[in-house]
Amino acid sequence: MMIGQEIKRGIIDENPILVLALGLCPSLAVSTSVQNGFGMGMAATFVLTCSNVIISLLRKVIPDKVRIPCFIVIIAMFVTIVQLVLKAYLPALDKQLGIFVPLIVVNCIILGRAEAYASRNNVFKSLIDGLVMGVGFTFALCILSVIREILGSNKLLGFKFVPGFQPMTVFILAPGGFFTIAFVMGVVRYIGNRKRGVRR
Amino acid sequence: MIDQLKMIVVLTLISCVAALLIAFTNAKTKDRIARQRVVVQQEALLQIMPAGVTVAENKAPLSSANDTLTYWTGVAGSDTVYAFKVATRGYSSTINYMICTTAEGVITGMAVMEQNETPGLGARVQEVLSKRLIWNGLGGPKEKTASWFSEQFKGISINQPIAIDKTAGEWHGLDEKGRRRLKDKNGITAITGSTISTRAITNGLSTRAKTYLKAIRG
Amino acid sequence: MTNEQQPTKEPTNESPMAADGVKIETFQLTASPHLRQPESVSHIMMWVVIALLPSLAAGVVFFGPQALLLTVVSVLAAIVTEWAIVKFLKKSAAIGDFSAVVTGVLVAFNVSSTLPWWMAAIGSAFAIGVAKMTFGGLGANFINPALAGRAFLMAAYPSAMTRFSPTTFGSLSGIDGISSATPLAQFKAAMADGSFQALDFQDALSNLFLGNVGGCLGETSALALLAGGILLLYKRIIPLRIPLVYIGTVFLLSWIFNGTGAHFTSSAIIIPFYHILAGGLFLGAFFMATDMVTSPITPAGKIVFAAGCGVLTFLIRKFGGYPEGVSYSILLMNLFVPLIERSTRPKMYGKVKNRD
Repeated sequence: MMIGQEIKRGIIDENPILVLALGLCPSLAVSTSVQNGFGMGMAATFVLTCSNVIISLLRKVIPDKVRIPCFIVIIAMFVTIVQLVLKAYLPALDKQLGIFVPLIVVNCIILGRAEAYASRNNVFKSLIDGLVMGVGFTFALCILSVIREILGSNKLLGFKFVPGFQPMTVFILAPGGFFTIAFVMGVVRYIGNRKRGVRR
Repeated sequence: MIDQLKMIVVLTLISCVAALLIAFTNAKTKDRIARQRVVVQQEALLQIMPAGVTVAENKAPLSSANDTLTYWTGVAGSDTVYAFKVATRGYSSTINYMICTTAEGVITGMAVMEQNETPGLGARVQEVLSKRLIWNGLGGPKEKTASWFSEQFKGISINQPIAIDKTAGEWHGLDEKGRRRLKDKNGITAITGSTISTRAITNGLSTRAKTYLKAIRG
Repeated sequence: MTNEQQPTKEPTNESPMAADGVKIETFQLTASPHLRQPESVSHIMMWVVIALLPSLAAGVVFFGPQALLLTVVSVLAAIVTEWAIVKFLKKSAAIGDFSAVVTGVLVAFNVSSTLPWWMAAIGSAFAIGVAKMTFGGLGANFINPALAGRAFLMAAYPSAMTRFSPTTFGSLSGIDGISSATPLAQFKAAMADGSFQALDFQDALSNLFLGNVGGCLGETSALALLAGGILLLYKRIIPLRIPLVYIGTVFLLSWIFNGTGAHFTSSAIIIPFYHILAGGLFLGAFFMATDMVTSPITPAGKIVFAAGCGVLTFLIRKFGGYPEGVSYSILLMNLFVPLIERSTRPKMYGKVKNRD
């Protein structure tokens, strides 16, 4: 499989947030600043890749009837490890992300990819899939966070952005999250339709 | 029968391996995490105590909970200030913060140490504002500025009701006159959109902190 | 809106031309009875704008030229947004109808006269762009666009939106000597700390009726709004039952639960009058709850809708964190409109009750 093709798939064609509409809860909550969005994306990518690999390795061993509990245990293991490491080495980021780190366990993207891909494909393919989906997730999170951070708190990466512009608080609150995601999804859909020559 | 056995065995094995790995990671990070807590506490003490005091740790009995309260005294000449931890239930987590007050209950410093409130909202109780424009360079050391939310508590008395002002905007945007007006009514500004987190902190001051101070003064 | 020919339904007056010059009839779905009216959308909108002019004048009188500036900016923003989106989506322009103008004016009427002009523009752009156009334009929106714009502004700039200045005659609460709060806020505070004086509030009534109180620039003058409302009622553009039931419900509830314990004392009687004249009730009842797209079609539905708005307005004013409840109650009831319409469908003659 072509790596370039896979990357395009994860970031654009099958972007987990913007196209597959997976993992929307943490996306809405964490995309209030680019630092948070990026940090969450990295943590989720790590968990996604590792769990994809392990689940793919064990795919012939895990009986079909207990596959969901097994997946969850594996995913939860990695999330716990990530959380402990964050608390120890990046306590500031851990504080910022708060309860959304343990919530990575129920992030639909991870369970979704485990079920739809890792349990049916070989290790190498699953590894790549985890990586590109994670990168796509992080990428989408960053786009949302940039928009929301600038419009909602007039900052970027913690630094003041445009002097004099009064930010619209609503954008770092829940309604703003919904507006932003809807708008970005709409743009992505529109561009996709145009490319495929679909007439409205 | 064999199928069921297989299910049980596989799930159990996976769980055991997972538990082992987690225990391993925990052992490796435990000390560092504990140290982080101590570091945060020491930093908080440094931040909220006035300069030039000698700090000593003490314990006082708390009548209500058969408990003892750990507090720190800062002595400079004849003035003594007391610092202690307060914990209150916030919006989505317990907020741990430390205050340093005079014997009369006037706050000289406050610092939020642990919280798990909503990022971007309640979590802003620990927010530190940076004034540098993004294109002035991403490199360079970060300016050491205190959290504006904690700063505004300086001079607030915990023995009087604390007013929360939601209409004046946030404290960091107020001018001298605005801030003085707030101080006159023993008031602080809330974080836009997070009244509950703000109120949790002020309630903790009006109730627990008052009790603790009384216990300390004997 | 479909282009199919359905012989049993009445055509509207809008007949856009297809590309090849053939006239297409667009048919509007509505509940029985099917009666034909001579108005077109732009005709109706024009009269609504006329009906709003007295309030605009009152806004200028009481708040200065700033009121006019805000209204003009808001209308321009609405028109430009609608034009831009229509252009982008390559739809045939429905701009000829004045609906964008009406939305723009209503957004301006719902903000304080001290609001920076660019905030009003943003609110207006949101009202048209998000609340109206993304759902399909006029006729397809599910909530009142002007109120959606106001709600957005409240969430985006809460402190600017709650800053009110005294009128040009120096009145803020309508009561001489009290200039710290708008009428409803003052009422809430007075009831809370027991300093409620019936006489003060009685004096305030005349100020409230004329409009000499602080508040949003289009909502203060009950007199001007009433004049506009009567005009629209006369022209049969808005139904009587919605404003009647809405205002009546608020009146009734604020009389029954007036907080003084009595019902026939002078205080108890003044309070409901105070409540219906203060805040944005008249503006909401006559011009926003009656918006034909977002209120129920069925006659019984209109009553349910208006009563619901009244109850919610009263609840928010009494128990909520905001002193004013009109905008949120109308928005909330907008969400229930499909349900209300379904439950209040008029019975069809001759239809046998289903056996299941």
